[in-house]
Amino acid sequence: MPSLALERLSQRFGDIDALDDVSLAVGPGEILGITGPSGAGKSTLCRIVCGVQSPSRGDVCFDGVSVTRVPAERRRVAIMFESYALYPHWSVFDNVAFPLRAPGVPHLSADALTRRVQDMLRFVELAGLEARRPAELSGGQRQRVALSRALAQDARAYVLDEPISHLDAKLRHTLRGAIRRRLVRGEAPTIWTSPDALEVLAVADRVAVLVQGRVRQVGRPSEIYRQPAHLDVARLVGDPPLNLLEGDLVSGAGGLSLRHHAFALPLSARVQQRLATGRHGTRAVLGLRPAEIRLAAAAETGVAARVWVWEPLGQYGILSVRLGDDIVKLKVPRGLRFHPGDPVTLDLRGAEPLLFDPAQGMAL
Amino acid sequence: MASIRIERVSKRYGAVEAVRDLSLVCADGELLALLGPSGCGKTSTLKMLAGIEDVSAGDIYFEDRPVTALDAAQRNVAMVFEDYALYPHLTVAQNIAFPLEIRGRPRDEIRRATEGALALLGLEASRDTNVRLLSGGAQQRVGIGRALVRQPAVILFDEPLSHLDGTQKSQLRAEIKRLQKEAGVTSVLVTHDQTEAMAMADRVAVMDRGALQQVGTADDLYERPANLFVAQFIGEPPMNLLPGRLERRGTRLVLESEAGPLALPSASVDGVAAGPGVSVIVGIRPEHLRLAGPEAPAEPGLPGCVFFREHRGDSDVVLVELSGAGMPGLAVEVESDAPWREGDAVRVAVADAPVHLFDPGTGASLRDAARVPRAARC
Repeated sequence: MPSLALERLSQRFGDIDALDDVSLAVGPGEILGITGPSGAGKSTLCRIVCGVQSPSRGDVCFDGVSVTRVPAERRRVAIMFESYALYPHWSVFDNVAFPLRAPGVPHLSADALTRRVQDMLRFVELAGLEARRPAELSGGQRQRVALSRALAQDARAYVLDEPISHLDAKLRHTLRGAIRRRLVRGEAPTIWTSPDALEVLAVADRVAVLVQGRVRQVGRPSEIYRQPAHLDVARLVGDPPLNLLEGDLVSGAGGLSLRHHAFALPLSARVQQRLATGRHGTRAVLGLRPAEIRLAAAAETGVAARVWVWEPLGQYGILSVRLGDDIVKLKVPRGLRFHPGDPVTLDLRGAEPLLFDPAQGMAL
Repeated sequence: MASIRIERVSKRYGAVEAVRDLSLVCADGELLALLGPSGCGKTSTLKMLAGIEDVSAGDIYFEDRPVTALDAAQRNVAMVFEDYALYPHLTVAQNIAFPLEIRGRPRDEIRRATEGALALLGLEASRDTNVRLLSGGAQQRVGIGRALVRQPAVILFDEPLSHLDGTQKSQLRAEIKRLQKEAGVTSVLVTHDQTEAMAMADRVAVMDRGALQQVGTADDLYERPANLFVAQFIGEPPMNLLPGRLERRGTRLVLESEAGPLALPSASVDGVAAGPGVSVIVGIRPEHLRLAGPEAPAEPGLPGCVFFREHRGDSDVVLVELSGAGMPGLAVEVESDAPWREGDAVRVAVADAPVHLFDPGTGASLRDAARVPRAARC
């Protein structure tokens, strides 16, 4: 069964570690999503896997065998570059057909090749544009040509570097499901990158979060979402991401609580159990999920705050409130309206708080 | 400060009609978004407001004063650009002060206005930093500061967030909205991103191929889309659309579709101008569909197969392929811990929630046909 492994990959550019000791594995038919902010090393990793760049250190292995020294054209990795890398003087058809005609690729009859290319173009909703040159296409259409060129190949692995980032929301949504279905039917491993964490959480079987060349966390989408291992992950994931509030861990009659400058939150027994001993008296960053903070009826005891901004989004809205010196975001159901300065009371008791070390960033 | 009135404005580039007979009002202090895909006419409209482009027909008024014949410099309009368009050799404070400097304002007025803008935008600490060294989000803050110090009648925002990555984008989105409300400046925002438009604007004008489709608040557009275009453009994932024929079965309204009969909740019948036997397109939001196993006898629903399950954090979205020929896939929102997996056979039913009915010929909503602008029917 085909599998792909990256073993202790490092890439230095001058003084900068673009990748720093990255090890990742992708199983047969699996999609590994890689997300991270720009400059995290996502594209460098893609270029190393397909062989257009050799790493400073480490290995790329297929089925346990290193291909680090095998040139790109013999690796049979289908890559879609973030920059598309289309041939400007060729038609859409010839761009997509190019890797199918390359030397060393099993020969296809003219009919079979035409059928393959046209099927792919129909798949990405570009049928009828075969004869156009890239310059005659919109940015989103060019991205789909690059995508179909990668997916048309019978590859040993697929590497899709930001494959759908420039498409409109509706097409992005339908296409990502269709691409996933196509890829997981086969046995080749796939790497799919996006700076949009929600996109890779939606399409990937597992997700790696890359920040400044280092893997901060690898896990199933629900693990990345529910249990971010590091502040860097917490800042990237979620819509909106976790609220991060710094405070002191103090012990009192009811056990440990987190004392923020505007409120104190008693920690549940479960959270206290998870905490390493010797944490009380130290600083910690509290992570609260926007969907788990509720608005309390005025009579209930809660945390008083003032509306900073209200953003209605149709199905729900995002309410930003000022809590002391911090801004906290909540997801609230539709049908409500707020104005800047309105007093509100927050109920934090339903939230499952996450705690992080403010200096190291690790989850506690 | 001023209100804006656009009256029957058209813009032609040769044979292409970029904007067709557009009438819109933006009240004093309001933030109005122009939303649509590329080529919808939103940017042409913005350029006509700015005075960078002439109108081909119609008139533009700022506070009852016709400005159609005035050039850009005479309109007192400030712009915030997609690519920030800052002066790269100047510091943060110099960029913000620039519009006042070139107008030759008194020194202490410039200082006061610049300091005020720096404080408002949280840029005091980087006042003497060269703007090239700032993050995209901070550069755009400088762009906004430069627009605000002039105390313009109107601020025009041209895709102000499109070069920012996710976290910076949602942060600045909220900041701009807050600033706009604090400063009370009449503002027009051009964007192709429906989330951005709904989050930031008091009202959103949806445009397609040069024509206005609907104007309303985020709730209006989400809950009462005037036509199929708006229904599909607003909401993520988009509204599901199912073609079929309406039939009455006892007290219930049923959609007879290629994939089978689908019972519609009685609430949706209110105000519907369509009787039995009429061909319609039913629009149902993903959160208003429910899944059941194939064995569930009480709930008929449409038979289908799960082909994709997306993890979306607080909930998941399941895409279901229906068995009928030519039927679209349906997106169904489910709880994160719901059991459905890729490959499962399921039945899809409508929850007791509003559904939307559209005329398959014109695309207009059948709920309230009178509200659909004429242009959307051609």
